[in-house]
Amino acid sequence: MILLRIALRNIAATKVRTLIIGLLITFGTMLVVVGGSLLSTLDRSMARSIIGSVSGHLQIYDSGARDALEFFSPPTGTPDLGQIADFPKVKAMLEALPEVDSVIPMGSDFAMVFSGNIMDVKIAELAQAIEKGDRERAKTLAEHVRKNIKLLQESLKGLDGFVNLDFNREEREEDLANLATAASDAFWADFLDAPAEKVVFLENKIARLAMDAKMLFLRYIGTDTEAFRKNFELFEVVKGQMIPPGKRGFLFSEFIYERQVKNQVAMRLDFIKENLDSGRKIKEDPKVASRIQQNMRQYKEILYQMDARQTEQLCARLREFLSVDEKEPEKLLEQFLDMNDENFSARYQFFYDEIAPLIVLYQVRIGDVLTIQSYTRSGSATAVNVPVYGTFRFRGMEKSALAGVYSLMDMMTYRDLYGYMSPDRRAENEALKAEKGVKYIPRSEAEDSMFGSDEGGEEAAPSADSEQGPTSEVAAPPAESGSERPSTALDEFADVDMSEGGQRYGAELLNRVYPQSEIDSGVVTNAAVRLADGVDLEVGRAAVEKVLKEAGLPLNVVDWRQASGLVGQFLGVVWIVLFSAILIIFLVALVIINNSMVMATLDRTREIGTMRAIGAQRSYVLKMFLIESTVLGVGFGILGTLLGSMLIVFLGRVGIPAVSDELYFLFAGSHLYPVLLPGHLITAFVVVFVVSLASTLYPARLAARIQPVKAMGKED
Amino acid sequence: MSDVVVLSNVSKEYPLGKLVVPALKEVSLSIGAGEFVSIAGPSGSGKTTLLNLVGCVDTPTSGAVIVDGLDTARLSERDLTRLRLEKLGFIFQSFNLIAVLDTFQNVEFPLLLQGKQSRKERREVVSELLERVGLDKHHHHRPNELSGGQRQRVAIARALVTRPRIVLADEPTANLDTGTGGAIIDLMKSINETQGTTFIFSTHDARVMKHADRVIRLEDGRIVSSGDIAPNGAAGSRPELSVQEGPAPYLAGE
Repeated sequence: MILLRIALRNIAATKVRTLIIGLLITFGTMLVVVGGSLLSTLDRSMARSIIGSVSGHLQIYDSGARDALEFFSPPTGTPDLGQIADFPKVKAMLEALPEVDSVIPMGSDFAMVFSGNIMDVKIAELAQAIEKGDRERAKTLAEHVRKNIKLLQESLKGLDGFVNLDFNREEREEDLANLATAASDAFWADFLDAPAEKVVFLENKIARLAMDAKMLFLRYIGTDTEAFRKNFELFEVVKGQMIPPGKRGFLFSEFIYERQVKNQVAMRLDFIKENLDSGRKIKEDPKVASRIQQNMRQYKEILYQMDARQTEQLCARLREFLSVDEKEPEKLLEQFLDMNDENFSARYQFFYDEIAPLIVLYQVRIGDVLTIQSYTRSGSATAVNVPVYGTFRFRGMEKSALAGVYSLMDMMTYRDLYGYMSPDRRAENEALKAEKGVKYIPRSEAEDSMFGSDEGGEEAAPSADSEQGPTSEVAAPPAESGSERPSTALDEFADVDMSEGGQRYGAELLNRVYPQSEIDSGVVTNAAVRLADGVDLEVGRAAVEKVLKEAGLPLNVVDWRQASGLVGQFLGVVWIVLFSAILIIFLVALVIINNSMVMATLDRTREIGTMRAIGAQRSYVLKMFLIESTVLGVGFGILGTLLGSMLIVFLGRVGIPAVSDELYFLFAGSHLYPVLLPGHLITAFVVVFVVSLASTLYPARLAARIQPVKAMGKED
Repeated sequence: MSDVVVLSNVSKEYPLGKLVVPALKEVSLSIGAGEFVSIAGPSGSGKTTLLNLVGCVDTPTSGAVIVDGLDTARLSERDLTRLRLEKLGFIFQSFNLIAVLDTFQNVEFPLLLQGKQSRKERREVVSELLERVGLDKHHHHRPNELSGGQRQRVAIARALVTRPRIVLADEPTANLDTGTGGAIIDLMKSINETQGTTFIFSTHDARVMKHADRVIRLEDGRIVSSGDIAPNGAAGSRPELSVQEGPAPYLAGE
């Protein structure tokens, strides 16, 4: 009691020292509490993001794999993960464990997809109108196509002045000649009376010259889509529908769909709206303003898609909306797109109400059959048709680019793209061989071999019930979109092994329902393991490793942190930084406390000598010093803990906003709500206690050794 | 009368660089219970050393120091500390109060070290003593709020609070003016008379010395005169005698 009193008095008596030590300790404990709570919360939210989206708690893959599994590292090519031998057995074995909830087969890869260009779309619409006998519509569309051909002709001629590519000069000259033909009056004069051949000509010779086709770079995960839907609780379908169980199908990541597949003008408007919604102003934010500028230059992108009637209709509406007399569609649209903070929301509404229905808003529509081009493990190019059923996202991470990086496809399609011979593919190849014999067609001759001289081959292709050439899809679109659009991208890649089998491949397979056994039994490169509720990650991991080891299966088991790649390791780095900062602060505190206590010992030599003379034992002096620094440490430790806790509770209320896409993913949503964990409070306390004790040991021993004689004699 | 302090052939040497400086040389001495003894002598004569040895805060190079029947050479440091706490009281030249404690707490401090008494008992003892030394209105003054004389009275109260057998005072009046010093010695003397506490104090002030029952004179580490042992209770009658310089002529007379 008296010791405490002495300690308190001494602390109060040396204000500057107390203040410095106090600040250090307060700051140090605050850092422990705040940093620890933030990181723990971040760890949880990241776990939620990563476990709940693609990785599951654990991932297993071939231990002989040449590459490590890293979901969220920048793509550097298809990682070689080997394959899980006898996946059905592994799955059965692991799912028998009480710790494991389910095992979901996976594989990730990337591919390029060329979305169709507007010419394709319009020609297809034209062909459709002709087929249905709708002459009126066909006439309008024909005019539109013709107008666009003229535009194309002009732009290609313009280009000619700049580039002089001798090596394909012939090809280019032929292209220009074809364009001239297609633009000529003669071509169109009797178009509607004898359209069939001309439509084929437009599709084969002209459409590919239009350069507004976009290349999409897609990363995707091939998986048992049904198991994926059931096990990743953050997964939800946004547009369209889920891939029906057992069927082939593709789901776009909503993020990619909205930002890459969407019409550029619309996409920019969305971007601006999002920014204005979060309080920014066009006037003040150059990033937003630049989008307005870009849109004003891109009016062609919209006009190009409209036929004369639609253009006229839109112009009338725009004149009314803008209350101007302008006649020129280009100028009208440019005026319309010149938006500012005041008129933005009205014009945004107008765009989606009046303009969007007239244009192709998404270059790949839900219900289209997408042709995905990829390189197999062996390096050969392959292409696969797969219907787009819709888009999906991970709940709470809608805005995260990282969460949206992967699109989803069924396991069978994935295997085809990855280049393993599925039974389907083998059967198809056999059938092809029997029918045609294997034939390698170099790219340069592909067009000819398909469309030019070899008309017979085309006719011979089975189930050619569409006039749109062998490259178009025939399967009924899965979503009832009603539009019989041609495959958007096939033309570019038809030269490989899709050449003749495409039709059969699409027609037959896209409607097939695969049994679970077939989904599981092919190649699986990696698999997600979802642990049962409440099972500790390490416990689950140990159980899984044990079973795999006992069965002698050479598989790597990694947790979600490792599996997520750089993102998961990011947190580890932050932990290290925090630890170092705390370590440094407390080391400094330790040195300063130690120093000031040694000084205090010297200052108080006479006082301590007096105490010793009066009858205080050494241990008493020792205690006096330890109590003094403990009071100092614990006192300011409590202050720091309190301040830190208050900060965390406050942040937990208001949330820390995710200011960038990366943070969005790490926070598993728009805000991070840090939670105060008792563990960190205890840690902070223990650290402070240990540091104050450790820093006083030496000075306290020094003090205890002061001889009582020091009290005697005159004061110095 | 039993002796509370006995020194036999006590020598004390201090190392000073490569030299050894003798502070006390073959000193033998005994002090009886209830004596009021002054140790006199010029600076460097060994007064403080003698007091330190008696006060068990220093150990002799040779010879035996026996305090209250205990040979200090045979006691551990822990036991010596205990001996100081239980049997001895200290009054310092520079008062040596604990700066961060107030008057009451300073006096209470040794009792807290002993830890024998209840809060209430301590309160009574301390209050009584403070009244006795005339500081009953200064319980909550900190040392720096007190005058020199007041501080020394706090120190006296502190030295007495454990009811020690012997109180040692090293130049208790050296830092005080003459009047205050006289008052302090009067206070010590009256306590000596009423409670029978043995006082041993060093001084080189003749006016202080005259209050002593006996004056032990030191020169160059040797006792040049060990004064007189007063007949029981008659101390008050001969203070003027002990003021005498040099070997006392009364030695033969007693």
